[in-house]
Amino acid sequence: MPIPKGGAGTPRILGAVIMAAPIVAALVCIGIGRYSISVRETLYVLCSPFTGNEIDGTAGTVIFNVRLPRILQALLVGGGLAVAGASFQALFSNPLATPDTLGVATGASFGAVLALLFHSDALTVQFSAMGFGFLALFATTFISRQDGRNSVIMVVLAGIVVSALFEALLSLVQYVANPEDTLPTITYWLLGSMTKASYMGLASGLPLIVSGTLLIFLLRWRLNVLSLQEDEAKSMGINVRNTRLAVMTASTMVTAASISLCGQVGWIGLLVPHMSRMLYGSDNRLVIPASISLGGAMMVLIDTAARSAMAAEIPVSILTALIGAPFFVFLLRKTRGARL
Amino acid sequence: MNFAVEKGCFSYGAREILREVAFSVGPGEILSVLGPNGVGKTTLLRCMMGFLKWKSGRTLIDGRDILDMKQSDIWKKIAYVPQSKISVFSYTALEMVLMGRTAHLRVFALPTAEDRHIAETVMEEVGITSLRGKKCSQLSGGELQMVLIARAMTARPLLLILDEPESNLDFKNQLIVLQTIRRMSAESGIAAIVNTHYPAHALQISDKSLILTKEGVNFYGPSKDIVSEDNMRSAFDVRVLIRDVLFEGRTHKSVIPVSVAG
Repeated sequence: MPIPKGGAGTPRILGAVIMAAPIVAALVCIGIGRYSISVRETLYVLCSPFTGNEIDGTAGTVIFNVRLPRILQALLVGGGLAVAGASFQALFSNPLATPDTLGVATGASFGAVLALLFHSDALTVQFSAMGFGFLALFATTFISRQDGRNSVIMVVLAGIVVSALFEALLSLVQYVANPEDTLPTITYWLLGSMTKASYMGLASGLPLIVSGTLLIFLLRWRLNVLSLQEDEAKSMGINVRNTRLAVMTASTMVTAASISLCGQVGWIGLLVPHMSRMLYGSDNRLVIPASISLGGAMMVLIDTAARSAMAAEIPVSILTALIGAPFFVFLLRKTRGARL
Repeated sequence: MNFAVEKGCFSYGAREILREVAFSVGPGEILSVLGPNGVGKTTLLRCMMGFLKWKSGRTLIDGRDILDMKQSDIWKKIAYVPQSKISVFSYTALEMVLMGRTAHLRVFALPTAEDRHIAETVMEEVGITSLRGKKCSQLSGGELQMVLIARAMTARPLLLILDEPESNLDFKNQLIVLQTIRRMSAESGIAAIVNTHYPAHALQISDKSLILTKEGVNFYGPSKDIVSEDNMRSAFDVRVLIRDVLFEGRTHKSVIPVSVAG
């Protein structure tokens, strides 16, 4: 894998670029769309609540009421799904472990859809998603555990089984859903989209995503240790069981809250951590912050493409797969089988 | 520090593995654990460090049962060197060695510049400074073993526990590993417990030896008495000759397996 070489300044510049990526992406993408706004004007409008400047009415409405909540949601969800993927990979010492492959995403989707079926409010949807996400994660962990270890292949197989199970339950919910009323909501939601982004939704999802991400960020050194074999990890003097549980909780929380906000958006949890590792190697001290940053930036870019590439909006999950799958093949070929 | 096991017994279900194992290791002492394949050498290591629970018996550090001690306190005193395996990780050697500092860090803390300095010093002591930026997945078996030893040393322990550190290594790397263990003990007073397949290595570096047998009889005492032709025969079912070889004024013990005992 290529590692950036060069003087002591190179990593610092790279770090600065990565940290700035989501902010730059957000500023540029806010202006993109049918009503286009320059970056300069965007900045002017965004600062107006603080500076008290007079702003153009249309630009203000477009930015504050339409695009800003959506961009913020993309940042939040992208960063969250990426960091959840990175932490699952360290936790299972498995380069293929992601919210999707472990069945967490499908479990959480089922939980969310089940709540939608009963017209529940946003908070109930989230907690239902979280509950079933946990259930899926524990099922995968339990099924794949042999002699106190989760082998790479068993985790992937167990994830497929658990995903299939919740997939079937999802279909069942769709089957019984009212075609006039709940079914369209559920189907559209399942496709994954940011169109419904609102400050209300953000307020309900933000606490879980931010606190989960923060916990993983704080535990990032211990993530390195957790990725060793269990005996080795214990011999580093950490409480392996509690640390694992904390990371699992945080990652599931983030995944479930993200899915509740915008449906099942795949690939980010696989792609972004691997990109980060291509830049930084395996050390989670750098991989975790880089994943948060790049995940946010990437989601903003993809969502902007989803809403402005064609006259009609494309569901964002379709785009992440269209971009993600070939890019991941490229990564696999380049790294000769994804290494952690 | 004194590390001791008292009457350690362990079984997997009904199958008894370890019966009344007892030994103690004082400062700077090296203990070798010998025995045929499958007799439970690794199980013994896992039990004595608390990864597996003794069925009866206990592990003591300075007279205190390790079950009553905090994990982070135990692992500031003892450090474990597992068998080196090529894995999916590509942490650099320095990152890997730095992980050895974790027992000294608080939950949310990152290694400090001082921790990094300790890691670099240990790498220099062990002679692997040149591996610093190399990825562990690209190291040879011998190099990786030295990285794991350095990682253990970075915790600044008083006792190293090594699981077959010289297996799968060529002659030169075997010598390097053995000399390193011996030097740590001589220069820094660090004790060591070493699982090994090689009786000659036990005679070469260890003060004490423990031989486990399938019959559940354990031989324990000073290496020169315990690693004997008779004990080797009853433990391994192999006739061996143990001879002194004089070379450049020093006596080297040589262990020659002659035939499988009937």
